[in-house]
Parts: sequence; structure tokens; C-alpha cells
Amino acid sequence: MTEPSTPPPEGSAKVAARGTASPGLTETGQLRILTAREIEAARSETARTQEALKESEARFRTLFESSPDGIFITDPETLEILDCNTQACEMNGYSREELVGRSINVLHPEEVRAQTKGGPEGRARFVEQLRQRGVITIESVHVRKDGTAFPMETSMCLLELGGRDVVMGIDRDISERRRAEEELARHREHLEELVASRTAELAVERDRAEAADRLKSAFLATMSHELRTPLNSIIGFTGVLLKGLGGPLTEEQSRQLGMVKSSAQHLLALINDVLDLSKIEAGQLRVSSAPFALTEAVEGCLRALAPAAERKGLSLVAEVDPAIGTVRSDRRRVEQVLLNLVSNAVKFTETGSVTVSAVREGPWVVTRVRDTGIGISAEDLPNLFRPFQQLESGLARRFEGTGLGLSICRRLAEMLQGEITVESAPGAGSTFSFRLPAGEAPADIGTEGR
Amino acid sequence: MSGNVLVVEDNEQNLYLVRFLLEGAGWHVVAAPDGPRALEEARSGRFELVLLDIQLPGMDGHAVARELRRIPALDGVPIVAVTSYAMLGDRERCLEAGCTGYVEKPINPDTFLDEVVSYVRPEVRP
Repeated sequence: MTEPSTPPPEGSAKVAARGTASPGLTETGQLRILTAREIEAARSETARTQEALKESEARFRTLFESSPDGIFITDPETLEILDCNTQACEMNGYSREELVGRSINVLHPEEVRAQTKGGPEGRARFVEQLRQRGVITIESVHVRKDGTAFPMETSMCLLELGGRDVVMGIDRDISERRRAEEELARHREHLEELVASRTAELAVERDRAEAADRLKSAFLATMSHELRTPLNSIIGFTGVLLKGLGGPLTEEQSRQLGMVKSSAQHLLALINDVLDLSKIEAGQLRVSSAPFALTEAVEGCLRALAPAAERKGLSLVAEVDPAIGTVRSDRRRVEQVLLNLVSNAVKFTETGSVTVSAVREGPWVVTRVRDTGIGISAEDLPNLFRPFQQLESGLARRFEGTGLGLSICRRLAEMLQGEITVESAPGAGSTFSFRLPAGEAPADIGTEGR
Repeated sequence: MSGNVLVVEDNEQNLYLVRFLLEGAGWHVVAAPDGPRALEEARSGRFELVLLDIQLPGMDGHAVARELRRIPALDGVPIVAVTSYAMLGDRERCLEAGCTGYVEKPINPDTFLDEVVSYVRPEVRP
């Protein structure tokens, strides 16, 4: 391709090598007579050069023909195809004879052709760009002889051929790449669709869960109301009759009415427990915070449970450190927890005592409820604070209760920024520790309200 | 003439209980089983106290309280909600609707009277 159309004058290689004089010329360009030896040397030099050129061209031809890419050599001015390789013919569905001598535009669809035309000036500018940048790669479209089109990436560079500039374009069919890109885009789109539809599904599920939650709350409110309405009349009339407002009662009638009253109150406690737990779980329970004397709360609780302890012959003992002072918490909820813990202790203790102590320990005010009751086995301890877990079915029958008390206590303690822990062993009694944040130091000595 | 109480309650037994307690203390009880009849009674009579159940058939207690509050004759008359609603915000909702006080069911017969009567000015108690 680089071979000039006319053979070079003998000795041109030498001119190139030396850059000074030819064998038949003096350094000033005057002709001179060559010796036979000089002539022989010049001839063999020329022969070697021609040999090298032939080899170079053969190498290029081999590369040109064996390239997996289609290669066109075109005239940048006329766009005439000067040469092309076999791969170029196959890609485009033409024979070499059909292509060589025609415009490269025969391979371009109408709209691309319009762009590549650009007039002689446009083409000259393009050649200039090629000269500056070395290689220019563009993506375009080729149309085969059968009319089908395919995407194409062409890398172009300038070559000097027979003393003039030609363009060598190396074409690669990028249908596969395009397909992959499109596939990728489709997958991406599909993924987006999947994400969108999953998001919509989750929104539906969330709405459903929220609706279920509202239903649960409404159900609890309704149940609470429905159960309290008949209880209102049971507890109310029992109270009225026990006060003798309905007329005088015999001793036996009073005793039996007392049983009705106590059962009705137990039923009410159960309803309140269920309601409390569901309020806690629905996040509907709010706790307040105000200073109050813990000693009062403990004493109130012991007073309330004294009759029950007395019936079982248990001693109820309070050991409250007078320096305990006031705590800042929700008094009603603290009392609820204490009442629960102490009534549990009384319930599960047959003989001995229930002791309630309260002390400050570091950041905590700790109230301990210690009993001499049946105790709790190690394997039962972890379940102790779960809802609806009275420890064994035998116990459930022996001791009435919802099995909600301790789970409510623990949740309440947590809401009050405190905690409840337990130490116990079967037969060795149990100690429940109820910790509340101590807050500020005990400024007053807890005499307030005693 | 004083000591008239309007009891709005749809449950017969509960009405009987409340009536029994109030009449025992010398109150004159007028009963209404639902909202519309309560409004009718309130417009035509004179009362020193209204006890209002919240869960009523048809028009609910909150709506009844709001309507009662529009009746000029009930100006300054305590309306006490007596309700077994015990969820968070129930008390607030009752007070917002115009109730003066709130008593939770089941009522305690030992303290019920004192509780509701405490809302009534002493000079108009029976």
C-alpha cells in the first residue's frame, strides 16, 4: 500500500540513508563517472530495499486479509472504495468486485449518507482532523446488499498510499454489543418494575397490618365496654344489697353476696389486665412523672393486701429505708407494679412471710419483694415475664390469675425507665427486685406524707 | 324545685341501679334511653345534673353532649359521662364534647353518689 506507483530511481534508498549524495552525483549535484564496483554496490542496495518493501507489503496484505474486522481503504475526496478485505465483503453481503470503485456511501443508509457528504470542504476538514488525532472512532449503521441494516463501529486513520492520503476504516459489527446493552437496559427496567411492584405490595401489606391494628384496638375497646356493662350491674347491685339498701340480709346471704362481689371484682381485674396489656402493645399507654413518697406507695399496697395475707396466716413486713425520700415517676403505675408483685408473693406463699424492702442503690431506688413461697425453677425463670404464662398447668388451676400480671409489670417498669428482675429457687422462695431511676439525691428525708 | 337529674342510659339494669342510688338520696330521676329523647327531655324540663352514658344506640354520647351544651336551660349544669370506655383519650374526648366530669364503669356503689354529686353546686342538691 505504501509502494509508490512508479519505481523509485536507482539508489534512492542510499539517498535516504545518507541524505547527501547519490552514487552518480557529486555532493554539489554534478554528474560523475561511477566505478564498476560502485555500480554493483548500488544495485544490490536497491535490490535489498525492494525485497524489504515486498516483505512489508506481504505482511500488510496478510494482516489485511486475515483481520476479523472489515477493512476499507477509501479516497477521502471522492469516497471511492479503493480496496477492501474479505471480511468487509462478507459483513456487507457484497463481492469485492461490487464494492471496489464504488462510493462508500453505497453501504450507508440515506440519512447517514446525508451526514457524511458534507461537501468537499467537509471532507477536507475530516482529513485534517484525522491527521491531527491519528484515529477517529465513530458508531454508524451499514446497510447490506439485501437491505438489512446493522450497527457498526468504525475506527479510521490516514495512510499514505502512492503519494496521496487515503483513509483506512476498520469496521466492527456491534450488533451483539447493542443487543447486550439493550438486554441490560431491559433488565434494568424490569428491575425497576419489580422494585415498584414490590413497593406497592409492601404498601398494601402495611395498610392491611394497620387496618388489622385498628380493628384490634376497636375490638378491645368494644370488648372492654361490652364486658364492663354487665359487670357494672353485677358489682353495683351486689354493693347495694351488701349495704342493706335493698332490705335486711341474713348472715348467709351476706356471705354469699360477698363471694359474688369478690368474683366480680376478680373478673374486672382480668378485664383491666387484658386492656392494660393491649394498651401497652398498641403504644396507647402513657406514663406521667411527678415526685411522690415511695414509702406511701409501699404502705398503701401492704394495707390493701393485709386481709389476704392475714387469711393465709402470713406476716407482711415493710422494711423501707426512711432516707429513701421521694422518687419521680408515675405513682399510679408504680403502685400497680407493687400491688402485682406483693399479691403474687401472697398468692404463691403458703407459710412464712412476705417482706417489702426499699433502698437506694447507686442510680436506682430498688424495691424488693421477698417471699418464703414455693419458688421458681431455673427452667421456668425465662418464661416468667411472658404473657399468659402461669408456670405449669397445675399451678394455673391452683392459683387464679391471667398470667398477665408479671408481663404487664415488666412492660410498665420499662416504660418507667426501670426494670424488674427475679432471683428464685424451688422451695427457697423468690425475690423480685423493682428498680426505678433514683433521679436527684434525696434532699428531703421522705417524711413528707407519712 | 331542685334535685332533678336526667339519666341517659340504654341498659335497663344499669339505669335501675343508678336510679336506685339517686332516688335513695332524694333525687328525682328522669330517664332517657337514647340521644334524641334525652334532648327532648332536656329542652322541656329543668335539671340540676345530667348523667350521660357514652355508648348509646344511634347518636353517640359525644354527639349528645355537644347537642345538650347548645340548650340554654342547661347552661352551667354539670354533664357527667358515665362510661365503660376505658381506652386512652376517652376522658379527653368526653371533656372536649362538653362533659364536666367522667365516671368509669363499673361504678362503685360506695362512692358513686358522692362522686357525681360533687359536680353539683351545693345549693341545688336535694
